Amino acid sequence: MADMAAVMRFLRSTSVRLSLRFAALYSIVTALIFGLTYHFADREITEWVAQQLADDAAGFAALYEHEGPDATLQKLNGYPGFNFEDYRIYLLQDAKGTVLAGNVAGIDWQGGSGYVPLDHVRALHPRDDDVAGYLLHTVQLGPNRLTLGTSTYFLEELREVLERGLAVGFILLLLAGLVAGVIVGRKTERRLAEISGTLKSVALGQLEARVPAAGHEADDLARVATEINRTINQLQHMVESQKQISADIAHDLRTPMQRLRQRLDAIAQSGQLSPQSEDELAGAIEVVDDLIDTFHGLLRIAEIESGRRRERFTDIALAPLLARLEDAYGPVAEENGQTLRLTITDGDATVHGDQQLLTQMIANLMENAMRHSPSGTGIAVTLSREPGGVLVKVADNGPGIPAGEREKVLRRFYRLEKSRTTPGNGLGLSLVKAIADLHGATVTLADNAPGLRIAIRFAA
Amino acid sequence: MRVLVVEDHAETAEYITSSLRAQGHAVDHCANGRDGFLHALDNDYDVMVFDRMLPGLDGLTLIKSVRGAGVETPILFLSAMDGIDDRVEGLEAGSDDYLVKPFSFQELSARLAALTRRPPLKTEETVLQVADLEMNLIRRTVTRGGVPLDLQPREFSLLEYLMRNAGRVLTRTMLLESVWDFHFDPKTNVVETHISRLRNKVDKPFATELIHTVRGAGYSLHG
Repeated sequence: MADMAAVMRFLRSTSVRLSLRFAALYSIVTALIFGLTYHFADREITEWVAQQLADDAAGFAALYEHEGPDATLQKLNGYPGFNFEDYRIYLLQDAKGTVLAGNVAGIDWQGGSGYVPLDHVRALHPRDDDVAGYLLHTVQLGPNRLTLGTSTYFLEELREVLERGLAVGFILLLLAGLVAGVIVGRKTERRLAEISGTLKSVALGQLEARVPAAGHEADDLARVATEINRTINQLQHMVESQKQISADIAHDLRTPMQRLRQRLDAIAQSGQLSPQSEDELAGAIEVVDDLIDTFHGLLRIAEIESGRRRERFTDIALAPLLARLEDAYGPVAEENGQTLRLTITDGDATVHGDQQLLTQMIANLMENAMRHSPSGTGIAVTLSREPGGVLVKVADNGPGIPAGEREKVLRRFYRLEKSRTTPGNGLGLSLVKAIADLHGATVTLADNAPGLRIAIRFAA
Repeated sequence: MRVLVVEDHAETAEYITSSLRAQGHAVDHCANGRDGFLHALDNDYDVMVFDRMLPGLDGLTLIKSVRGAGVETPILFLSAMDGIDDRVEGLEAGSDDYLVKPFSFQELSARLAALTRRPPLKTEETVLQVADLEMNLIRRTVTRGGVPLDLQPREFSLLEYLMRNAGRVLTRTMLLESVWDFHFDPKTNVVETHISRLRNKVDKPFATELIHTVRGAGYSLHG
């Protein structure tokens, strides 16, 4: 059944449809050409035979005029072609129609030149069934009338040969056309698949993807591929420079941040502060630490987006990773009056990825649920397999996110109005998105009715 | 202890050396990798701090060269890059710990203390003891004053780490990295919650506290 679907998909593809249409058009034109060839060849041969008859008749007429009736009769009766009455016939009659000489009994014929079917010729002997009729030519020899005829037998043989040849040629041409069409079609199909695969990768954020060069071919597809690659280059360049700017800013501000942190530290350690100043200073250090944390977050996202970590990917079993997270966060949820429940329906699920980043991603989702939900909220984490991949879900029955804002929370620094008072830098879910993208996984936010459900789908 | 600091950034170097000296440590400072390499070979340090980016000889090469020359002194690697790859590269080159700038002095100090190894024979220990707290690593049992304590596996790991580093300050980050293998900063009170649960079992039923909070720095287990 799957094969059938693949065949149908193949037949529906543009290139195959084009090649089939082309083959149909090609066969119509070929049939037309072959038909005309047949027609003209047939007419040419018929005319040639008729001309031969006319020439022969003219020869006998000349003989009659110069050498008289006896010589002509003698010549007629001894003419070699007339020995085979199936092939050539002759009939000499006087003005009353009485037969004077001939190799047939009679012909129903008005005279002149033309064709009669077999039954118009009365034979002296039983005849070959293959004969269909005769081409005739009548000439006046003084008072008598000579009718010469040639059987169309060999004409039909010729026609048959011609028909067979043309039919075989037509089929061969059609087959060759179809095979060529399918080969070209499949090749085109492959190249189109490469192009669409590349675009799919780019859509998933893998901006280093390029359409492979198609050898030394310089056709329209190669031109399209070149254009697409140029566009991706441009896109990659733009995205990189944009990322570079934010990474550069974060990086450049790190040194002054370090100095600020160091100076505040030095004051704190001087031990000459009033208790009130000490509290103020602790508050200031906390603010600086939050800032540093935000820069860490930005740089970390930049590093993840660079894709370098893919080189270190290994197969990670998700069940133990989730169990470790449950072990770490279960007591924290309990402390908050919340419950954290882990359900694993596929204990063997693995993904190709980065252990640390996957841990951080799921930790962020759990913490997100815990921090934005009140006491009494239940948080359910599930690991399951679904057709085509592995699914990790983190669902809570807390306040949720309004439908219009669900996708926006994946953006950097985006925070819901009601969360502005909760500590946080607005980077948690952007980091989740960046890590998911790195793993070729999708992040979807949905209404858990009530609450929020975030699903991470890893392709198998 | 004797510390070698190889750091080209003057202000950071000053901050590290003066703070370490204020704690009573002997500190040598080098501003480039070449000097750092010679110092590391010629002297017997307890711990060394190398910056990632150095003129002359970069931090990674410095670590490899020092290790290549047979020096086994613990090394803490400093980097301004929050590169996770950086951390792995540093550890692979032969450093023992890694710290990202900007960092607090408490964090650096706690990590240096944890790096200075106590005399060997530690590795084959089967029983850890701090005051009247005793942990059997083979049977995985813990008693305090002879009274058995019922610990969850993770509480056991946490206590083991605290006991192995008894008397030292362990920062929140160090606990997260060593006990949970978390290399990120959680936004919830993971460490505080687990420490509090551990205290309920290890300290609460007894007269004296063993797990101490070090303000602005972390935790320390001692009698």
